[in-house]
Amino acid sequence: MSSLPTGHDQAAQGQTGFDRMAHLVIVALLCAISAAVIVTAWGFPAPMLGGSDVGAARFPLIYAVALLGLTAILLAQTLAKPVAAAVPPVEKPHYARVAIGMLLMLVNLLAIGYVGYFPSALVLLMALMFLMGQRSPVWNPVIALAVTTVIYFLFDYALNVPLPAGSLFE
Amino acid sequence: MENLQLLLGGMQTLASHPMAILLSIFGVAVGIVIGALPGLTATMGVAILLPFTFGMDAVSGLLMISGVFFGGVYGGSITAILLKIPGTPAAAATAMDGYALTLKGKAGVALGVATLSSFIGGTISVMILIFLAPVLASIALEFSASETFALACFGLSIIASISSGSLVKGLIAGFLGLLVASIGLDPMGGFPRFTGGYTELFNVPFIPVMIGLFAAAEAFKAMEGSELRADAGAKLGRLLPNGAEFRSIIGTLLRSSGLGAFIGAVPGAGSDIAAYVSYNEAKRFSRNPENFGKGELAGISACEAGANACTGGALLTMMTLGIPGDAVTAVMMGALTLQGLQPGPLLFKDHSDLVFTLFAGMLFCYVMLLVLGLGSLRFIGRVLMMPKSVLTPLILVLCIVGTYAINNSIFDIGIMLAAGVVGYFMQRWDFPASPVVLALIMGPMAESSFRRALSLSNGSYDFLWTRPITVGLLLLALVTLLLPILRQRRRSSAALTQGGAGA
Repeated sequence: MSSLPTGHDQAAQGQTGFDRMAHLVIVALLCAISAAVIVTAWGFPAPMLGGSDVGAARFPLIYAVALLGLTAILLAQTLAKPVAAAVPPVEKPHYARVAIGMLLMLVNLLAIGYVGYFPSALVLLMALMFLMGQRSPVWNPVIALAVTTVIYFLFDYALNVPLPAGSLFE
Repeated sequence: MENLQLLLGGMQTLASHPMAILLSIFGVAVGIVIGALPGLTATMGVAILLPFTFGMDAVSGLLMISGVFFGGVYGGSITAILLKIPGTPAAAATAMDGYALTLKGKAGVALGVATLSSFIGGTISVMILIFLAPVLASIALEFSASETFALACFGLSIIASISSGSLVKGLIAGFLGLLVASIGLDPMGGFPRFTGGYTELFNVPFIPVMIGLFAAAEAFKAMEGSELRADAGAKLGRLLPNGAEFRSIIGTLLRSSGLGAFIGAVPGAGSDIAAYVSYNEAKRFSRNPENFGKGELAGISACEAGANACTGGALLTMMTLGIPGDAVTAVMMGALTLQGLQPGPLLFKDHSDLVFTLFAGMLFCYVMLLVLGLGSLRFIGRVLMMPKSVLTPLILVLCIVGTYAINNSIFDIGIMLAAGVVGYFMQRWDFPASPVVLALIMGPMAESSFRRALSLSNGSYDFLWTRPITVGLLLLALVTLLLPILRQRRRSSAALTQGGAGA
């Protein structure tokens, strides 16, 4: 496998069992994406210009097949790499906080259409600051209000880019 | 010599137009702000200010818009370097080395080099516009669909060069980007591909994807750490590069400026392509290519000089041939027409005084970009002193607002969020994000120009090997793609030999 174009660092180091499992999941996902593209593109209409065009499907098919080939190389690299014991990190990453942050963004995405930019951004800012350890009951609302207002005036008035008003208030 | 005299005359005329001078300063300042905000591009800035030029004289109106254009291209680098939020697609290339320098506590010199490079690249491109317009315009006219396809292939081959960790992972990211780029209307037949019935997906949503992959993913990553109350850890430091640093980037600056001006002159190729191509060439010519992506000043210099030099190139074909080089110059062409000026060869003949006053004004705009840029960096750099617990939420709100501003679409915010989540996991498992952005820029260009070329040649593939510029660019693409693979093989065999000798 050494002849494969692997990364320098990667080639030098091993991988943990978790890394290997994650890479196998990634390989499965990439295969699924490529297969979905190939199946969907197969149904695209034939070229309208006859022989002087390759049609809508050709390029996505080329990309999907190339992706499959590269995924096979990644799989080979993953399986060939030795599994080493996991070294505990100096500081454990707060994955739960990241997940909550993503969830808050999703809630904001769902809410912004109904309540508009101002309330949704205000609440999101306060919630994210709280999540990240800024717990002041006075400064959190003040900072959030100031930031939301500045952004609102900058976009809506100075740059003439209207921000969502929210269907509940329209 | 005649052009020089006309330029001096233009400078004198400009000096007697204080309002034009003030408006060009205003334009540059607005452009920098617009460029720095994610989602807002120079095109949008020019379009926003266009109605205000109706009541102005031609010089004032066009210089204000030029100022927004130049400032908009430069402004994207500021947030790219400080926060890894590329304000513009071109700044996504600057973010690779710029943000790495910020993490090393050298944000000041990174911003200083970006400002200097933008000024030098832009000034050189305006000088090229003044003195070499006919030559460059004739070369640009040689670019038909097949050459544009080859240029896009060359651009795509750069993926190999910017995949700093694993080449396979970089290529996988690139091909994923190409698949995302194929979402939307088929460029020839107009057939909707992979849209799932959503009309919002008829156009490739590449700015939301870019904001998500870079800014939102970085913000999510910032949430992992525990030092949430401490500042970002990086101080601004000195702004200007020292003598040795400046000498080390002069070659890159000149090369990237030439490349940028040329790429800008090619219709359809913009500052984003110029930035990536300049970056790739800077890496290829560098004695320390392994430092690129880890905080190399030449990397920032190449991207910024290339992107800003594009402005003169784009204006060149617009003014000399009436062909806009990109979306911004298309809007600017509208502004010229509104002022009663018809872009094309006769513009230089019939309105030479006005044209050279504009050129003098454009040079002034770049001087103001340097002054305003360097003057405001200390103030802008204070963003680094903000606690992470405020900065990260602020970045995420800016991501939402910036994404929404592109098409006034909440759907786009969803795309940005999805790209942010994917980008976070890509970072976690060492898949680089830059190849995705590069593929999103080059993919549609490659497909549409290939299919147009094929159609123009009645289905014959001859255009791939019968046109010299196409062949040259395709060969260059092949070398760019294979070189990193060969380098890695050589490194692997050297390591094996050393290991064997050690044993």
